[in-house]
Amino acid sequence: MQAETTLNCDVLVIGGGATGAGVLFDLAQRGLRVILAEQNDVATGTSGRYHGLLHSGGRYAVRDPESARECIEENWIVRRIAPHTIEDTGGWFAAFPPDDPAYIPLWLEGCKAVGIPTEPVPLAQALREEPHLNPQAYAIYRVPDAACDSFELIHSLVEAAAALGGVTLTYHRVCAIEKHGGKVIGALLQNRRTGGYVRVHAHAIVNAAGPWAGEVAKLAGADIHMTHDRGVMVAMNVRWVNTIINRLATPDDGDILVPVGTVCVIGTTSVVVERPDDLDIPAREITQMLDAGEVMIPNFRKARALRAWAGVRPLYDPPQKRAGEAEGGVGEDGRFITRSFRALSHADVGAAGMLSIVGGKLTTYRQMAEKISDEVCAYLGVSAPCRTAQTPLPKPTWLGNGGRKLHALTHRLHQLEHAPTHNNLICECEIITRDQLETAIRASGEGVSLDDLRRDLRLGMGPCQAGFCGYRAAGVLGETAHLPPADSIAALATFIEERFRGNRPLLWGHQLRQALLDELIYRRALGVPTPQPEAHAAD
Amino acid sequence: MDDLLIIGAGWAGLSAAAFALHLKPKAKIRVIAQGIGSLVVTPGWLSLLDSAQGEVLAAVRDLAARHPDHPYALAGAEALERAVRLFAQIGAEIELGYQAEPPLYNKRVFTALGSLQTPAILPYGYQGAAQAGERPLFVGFEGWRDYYPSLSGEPHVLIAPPIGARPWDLTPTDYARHFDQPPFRAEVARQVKARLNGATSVAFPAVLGLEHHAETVQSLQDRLGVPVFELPTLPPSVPGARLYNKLRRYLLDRGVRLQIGHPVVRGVREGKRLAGVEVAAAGKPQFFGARAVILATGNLYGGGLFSDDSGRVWEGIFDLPVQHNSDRQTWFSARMLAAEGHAVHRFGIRADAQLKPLAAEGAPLAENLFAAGHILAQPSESPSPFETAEGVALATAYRAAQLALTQP
Repeated sequence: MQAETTLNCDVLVIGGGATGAGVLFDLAQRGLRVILAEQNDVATGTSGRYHGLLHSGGRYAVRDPESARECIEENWIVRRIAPHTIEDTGGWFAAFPPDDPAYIPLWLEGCKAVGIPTEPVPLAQALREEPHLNPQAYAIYRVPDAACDSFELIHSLVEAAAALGGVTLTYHRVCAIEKHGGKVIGALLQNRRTGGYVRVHAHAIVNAAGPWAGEVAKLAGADIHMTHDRGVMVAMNVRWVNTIINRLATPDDGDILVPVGTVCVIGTTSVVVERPDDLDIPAREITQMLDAGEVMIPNFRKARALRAWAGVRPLYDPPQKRAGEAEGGVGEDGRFITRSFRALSHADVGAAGMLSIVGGKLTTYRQMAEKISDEVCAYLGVSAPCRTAQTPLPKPTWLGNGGRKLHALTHRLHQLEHAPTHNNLICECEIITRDQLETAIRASGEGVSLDDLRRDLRLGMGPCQAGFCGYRAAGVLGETAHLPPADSIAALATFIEERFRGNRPLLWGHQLRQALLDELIYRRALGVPTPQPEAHAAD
Repeated sequence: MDDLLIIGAGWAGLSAAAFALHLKPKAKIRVIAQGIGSLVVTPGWLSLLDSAQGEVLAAVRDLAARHPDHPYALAGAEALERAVRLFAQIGAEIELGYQAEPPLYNKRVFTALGSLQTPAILPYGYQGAAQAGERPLFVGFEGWRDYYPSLSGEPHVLIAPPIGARPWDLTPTDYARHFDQPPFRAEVARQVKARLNGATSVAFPAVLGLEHHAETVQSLQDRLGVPVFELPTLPPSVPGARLYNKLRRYLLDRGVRLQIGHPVVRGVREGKRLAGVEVAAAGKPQFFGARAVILATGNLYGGGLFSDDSGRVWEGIFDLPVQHNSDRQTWFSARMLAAEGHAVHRFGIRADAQLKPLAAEGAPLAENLFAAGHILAQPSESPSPFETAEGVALATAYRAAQLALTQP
């Protein structure tokens, strides 16, 4: 196989989630030349498919103290280095009937042991702060949880690394890892948009591929046993609470409620699945989430479920278990596997210089990056220390001068009402103007999909789920990128299916009517051709 | 006390009222609906059986023979033909076209994406597509977000008609109101004519007039010297709105009472019959007595049926049993545009050969309650309900009106 392009670096990082981006920045800051390869766009794997919670660690205080300690340490650090990604909602752990009161002293003790501050909240006070809370709550404690925008965090890391020379290659999949003399020497990547190949020469490789870590390790001849633990989350169109609510009970399905922007997200389930890309959302798991929501917030399901998504937790299931760790068999609850992380070396299979980082949480991304970067530096003989805990991250440039979240509806409304000129609204639900869309299309370059634009702009993520804006965006895409009509229509058909995949588990009541209206538009008014079935390019 | 009370103002409800007028001109007819119905989101043409290759009415008779549970079969062999003839007669009176002289064959109309649809009966605006010729010119409006002629794959131009400083804010209905004005049409024709460049026909988004549609199409054809035709747009559908407005006026002028905005909440029984219905109103529900009632509230989309996350599906007024899959996972195919469609389209209530809705025990709920339109279940394996959308509404509306008016 002939590579079309050759690149040289010190370290190749595989995986563009929070961990990979964290490693990219950490090593770039230590003066190394680093390339990050991501098979899709950044933040499209587990990091982009979570509930938006910066853990205090309280959830793990009883069963998984190691992870709890990592969470609380990193919680304080992330608040300091990336405050723009945080909405400091605070969090509560609240016990409701039938939660077992015997859990409470265990939990308080666990929190104390790892340094998670807790403060009791009297019910009357709690109901003043959160009037929708189930008044049957019988014990409530405040903890330093927060909502964290992983898209912004990862974009901040990528941009901060880029300023130091770190390169990010999106839509590049690793096809082969090259070894010589018992060491890794590089990898062959394929550009998934052009089909071309890129050969990367590297002295070390970091496998931060999350749920795909097992597949990537296999390319180097190593066998790491990952457990793919799928969790389903549902976003409701009402911000029921302003504080994160956790059930004060042994972790179970649907016991975390996170306010995010104008919505709130309930999660999650925990089902071990075979493949890292098994993102199916069974209807019964949705109903489970809504039932669980009713316990914390009576009438929870009366709000409209806007979106559902699944993420696959990349849990490391080591051959030698520590005390209390369970086997993670397919179909089982993966909650008994630690959320802590491990760094694994693959020198034993003739791949010295290749390290895999597995397990962990988004909250602990920085500590994971630090640990693996330390090992990489030790291998390369570099002595520069980690400084990421002290270095504030820049706001991503697309936040604009005001530094406000572009995708916040209030920000967009403000812009729209104060802009002097052309303000053609393409996506009315999310207030995206034609200007913004055209700018994003031009900035993204060749091969941009409507789904990429969705992630950049929130296109099609409102209640109509692209029923109206899908056609409009395809038209603007065609005109701006000068595409042949068939390509624009194919982009529309693909986008429709992408949106439908997230929406399908939520089709009942009003959302079902909305989907039927969208279908009327697509099938009758527009006659969108049925696309050929194909693997999903970007998740 | 009304002779006939119709619940719902979509295709089925409004046409049932119009058919009842023709069947019994002196009847007291009342239409009560929660909202203005589905006309304004449908393209405004009549799909009877879009996949029919030969004569459409014959193909529908075949379909009914193969699927005795299909609403076409329940409506009976003659209902569709009578319904479309009557509809065409009304269509001519309200100046919207809709010719339906048998034998009927499916027509070809274009969409904004350049694909073809094959409905059987068309209002004026779509008729010109038959004479599109070798080189249709697709015309759009500069800066308008709702139509992109470049996606048609045909020659196209953007013109800038005089509509003020914010063209992007306009809805299809706003453009249609502009086209109702002769000077606006003249300016559009002037700009298009200058760029015709040998075009054999001209396609516009379906905004060619709201109140003066026939005149708009005619005057553009006269000025451009080639056939002019419309392409369906994103909702609101102007062809649907035209029909709704004109049908509404037609019914009101002939003494039909139309009450839109307050939903019927329940039926009032009197032995084996319905005495009437109760309508939600400020203060307390209001009773309306009727000799016969037609339930035409539509399917899950139309608002006659409801669903929840547990997989329950119910009918909202009479609590009629709904034929559906109880496993919500099976309601939709894996892909939105799957060729086989979605099981959910076929959910509906069951009715006997007289279109009387069946209660849980399998007997009619009431002697004088009839169902019309998409609230009726459709058998699996029959053609997609989209293909027969208006045909089913009209055929069952005709038959329901006919049966309802024979009530003592």
